[in-house]
Amino acid sequence: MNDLLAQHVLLLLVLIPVVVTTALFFIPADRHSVHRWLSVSGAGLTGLLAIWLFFNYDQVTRGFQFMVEHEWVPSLGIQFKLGVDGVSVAMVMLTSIVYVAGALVSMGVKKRVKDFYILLSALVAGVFGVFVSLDLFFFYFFYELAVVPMYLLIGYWGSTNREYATMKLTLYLTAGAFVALLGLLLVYFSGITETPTFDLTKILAAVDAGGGLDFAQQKFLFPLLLIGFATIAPMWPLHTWSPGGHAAAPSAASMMHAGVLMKLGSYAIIRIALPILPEGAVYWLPWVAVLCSFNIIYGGYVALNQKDMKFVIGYSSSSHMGYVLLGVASMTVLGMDGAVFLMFAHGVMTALAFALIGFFYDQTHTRMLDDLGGLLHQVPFIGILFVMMAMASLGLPGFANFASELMVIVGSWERYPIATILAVFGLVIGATYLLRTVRAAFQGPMDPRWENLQDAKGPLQRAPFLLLVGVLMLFGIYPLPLVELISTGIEPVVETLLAAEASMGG
Amino acid sequence: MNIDTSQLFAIFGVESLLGLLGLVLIVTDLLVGKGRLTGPATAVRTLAFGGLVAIFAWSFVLEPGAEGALGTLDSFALFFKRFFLATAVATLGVAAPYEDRLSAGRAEFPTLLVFTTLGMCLLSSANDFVTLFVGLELVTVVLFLMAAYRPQLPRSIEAGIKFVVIGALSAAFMVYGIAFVYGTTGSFEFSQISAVINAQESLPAGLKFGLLMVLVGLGFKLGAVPFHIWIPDVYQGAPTPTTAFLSVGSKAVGVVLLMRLVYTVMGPAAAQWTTVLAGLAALTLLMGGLGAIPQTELKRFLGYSGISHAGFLLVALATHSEASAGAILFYVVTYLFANMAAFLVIVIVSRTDDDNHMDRINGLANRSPFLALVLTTSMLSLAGVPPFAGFFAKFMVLRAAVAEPALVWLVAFSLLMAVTSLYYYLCILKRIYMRDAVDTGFLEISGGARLLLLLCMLAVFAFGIYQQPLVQAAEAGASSLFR
Repeated sequence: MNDLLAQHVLLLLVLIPVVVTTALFFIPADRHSVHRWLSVSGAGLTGLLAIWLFFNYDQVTRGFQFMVEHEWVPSLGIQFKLGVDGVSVAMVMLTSIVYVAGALVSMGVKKRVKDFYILLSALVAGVFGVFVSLDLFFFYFFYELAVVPMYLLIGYWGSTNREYATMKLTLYLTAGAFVALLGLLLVYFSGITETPTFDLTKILAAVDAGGGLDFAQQKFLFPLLLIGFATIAPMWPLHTWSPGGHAAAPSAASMMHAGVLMKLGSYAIIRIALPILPEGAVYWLPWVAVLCSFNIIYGGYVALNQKDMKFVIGYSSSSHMGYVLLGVASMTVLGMDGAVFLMFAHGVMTALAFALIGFFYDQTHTRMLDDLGGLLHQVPFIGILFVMMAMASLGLPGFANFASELMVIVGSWERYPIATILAVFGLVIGATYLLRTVRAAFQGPMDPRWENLQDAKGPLQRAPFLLLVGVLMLFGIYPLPLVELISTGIEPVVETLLAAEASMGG
Repeated sequence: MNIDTSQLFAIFGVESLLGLLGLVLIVTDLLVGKGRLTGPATAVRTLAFGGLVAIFAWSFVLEPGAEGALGTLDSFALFFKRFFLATAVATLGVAAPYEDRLSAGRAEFPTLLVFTTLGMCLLSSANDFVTLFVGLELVTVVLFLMAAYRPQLPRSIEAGIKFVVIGALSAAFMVYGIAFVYGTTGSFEFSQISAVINAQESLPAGLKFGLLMVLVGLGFKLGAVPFHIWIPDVYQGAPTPTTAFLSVGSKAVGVVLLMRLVYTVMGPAAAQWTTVLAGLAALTLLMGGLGAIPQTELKRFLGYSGISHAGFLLVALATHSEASAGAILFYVVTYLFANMAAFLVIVIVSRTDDDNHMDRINGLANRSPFLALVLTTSMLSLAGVPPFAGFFAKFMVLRAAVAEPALVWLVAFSLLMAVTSLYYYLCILKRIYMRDAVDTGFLEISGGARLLLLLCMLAVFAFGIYQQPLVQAAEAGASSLFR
């Protein structure tokens, strides 16, 4: 049984959302509960597979495991190749957690339930595909597949300024993807491998064997991949699509987007850009450290001045992604472990934030801090969880975010002391805007306008929130297993980078 | 010149059968229910459909290899013969729900279609400027008729006249060019012209000029900038089935001939033309990428979208490698499916009158989820979004072009223009899903139309996900150009 699962687990991971999407097409549009439960069970299955992966990934042998390989278009060097290492397993876990929570939260969707779940599961198929692909063509294929359903998800089910926001988001991310595509095609033809191939493992093997590109080429190619992938990360100043997009999106879409999609960017940098172009990376990463300080400080200040709660969280997300990028730029095992761990923690935390905001927004139809107030009286469950989310986000020990941010800060101190000091300062800004939000929305006297607000009742409504907060606390209190797992994937990358640095210095 | 009949049939088998089919259709029209409108139309349409499908099926039995003085049946020709036959079948499908808008000439439409398809098949086999010109005239003259098919609509007449003028102009360029080529090389045959071209270090000015004029003539067919001006007006004015056929068939005619000319006739010498073709490609992409944005009429919109696709095809032509030739063949097939589906949807939503304003598709998702899904699929495929076939087509073109360092700028520019074209395709999606319907009438979709839409949609999906069979066919088709 275990052997059989080991052969097919990654294929299943991609196929389950695809099957859900396809099955939904054939279910009549008025059978809402069927649509909902089918999606939730699909999500649950991917969750079980992710847990299985977590416990069965062999941390001793390391490397890519559970490989699936099929010839696809041999004449173009394309193969369908899947495999995971420690980093991908962490990201798969994140995706399935957010998928389960998102599917549960979307039980509240009323219009065109069928179409909503079709798009949601198509998007998830794309995300899983990116995290498990070891072929650059399919990596790109799944990446675009994850972006485009968002257009309709936001455009139809969204709120505030949705048509503008969704168009901007789609075009921005596609443009970014195209820059990366150009970079990938140039890498493909650069002659790293004897015959051009999109097979990532073959390219990496060739680089490891000393067949990497010369420095001039790397210096030119790395920015293409960096800009392409950093658009979705999002790195300042390419972040402007993100807060508006998050704010306009319906709950599950914001959860997927801020929770998972944004992580595709930093994931792609770690998986593709750094190991293939290590010398280019060593050359350019200090600039990333500069830009991500802008993310942290600028994003934080903008969040401080927002009136719409989703914009607060949206800008806070781009601020937090600055920490991720700082960790990536640190080129230390500790810092990069911290970056990936923070991708995980922030994904769960921000999904929780958007789920909570979405929950009361469905009833209040406003997220403006000025209009809200005293919500703790009516919705104590939601309120308490929101406070917990805020505590996690501002880095209170006991939540996964604290551990990961600490790792990033310690890891990057040596190389970038100024950026690290700014990052620590960013934590203070974070605490300010989060506490301000909590006070304005949840504390204070009871507002008669919100008298009839309903709290989350019953296990079904509460489940998604409890799941997310539970994960945050679990890995906050006992982060070691996850960090060790991530480390197995990070260490080879850091080794490559340090070797490149040594060779450049000498 | 010795002409051997059996050899001629081996090369032009498809054309002979199409000619026969056309004659049968004329006779049928005369014999069945003389003077009535619907009786002969149904008979002719059924017969044309059956005949075309049969010939299409038969073309898969044919083996490439026959070659003669007037034409060749290499795998490239065969690929395009199948393509044109499929286009004709799909056009009949688009025409069926349109038919009741025609007050006269319902039976003649399929007949004309068969004859113009004959011309197109002939062109795909042409290895001689004489065959080329005869085939081209056959195609164009019949298309004039099909464009001006509804004399009671001023727009249709306008489309016909514009098309005639532009067609005559492009033919004039062609003939002028052919004359120069003949004058400098002494031959009409591609193989001999090619030998002359590649025997010389640099081309004589007369030959260069002649080839350039031929290129201009074909640019009109393809819809390349600056020869694209006729497209929006003719697309808008012509009856929708004609537009559908024009947008796929006529463009493909340009593609076939340009490919023969660039890859086979000019061969390695075409490398000198890379800059010209790349410049044309960039202009065409720019026009297609920006021109479609302000459009409010569906067929004009698709006209500009077609210009942008011509730009991508030119990028591949400028690349001049076997990989890029394969990419073109893949591209036109995906374009066929996506475009035919889009035009059929237009016919269905504008059923009550001939207004094709974009409002017509507002709120389509509520009126008919099926049509909305089909149109979404075809728009996203045209935009080049995975998992649809159009994505892989663009991917193949760009992949081939990146291999040529001199063209990296063009690839970057095409990607930029792909973003702008994504914008306007998304605007269509916006109308489908995020606007309230302007029309509320019931959308009647006949069984045949439903089947055709379903087929197109499935093809776009299937070739987008599992590309290998079509890639193989395209590569086989392209390989014969390079022998």
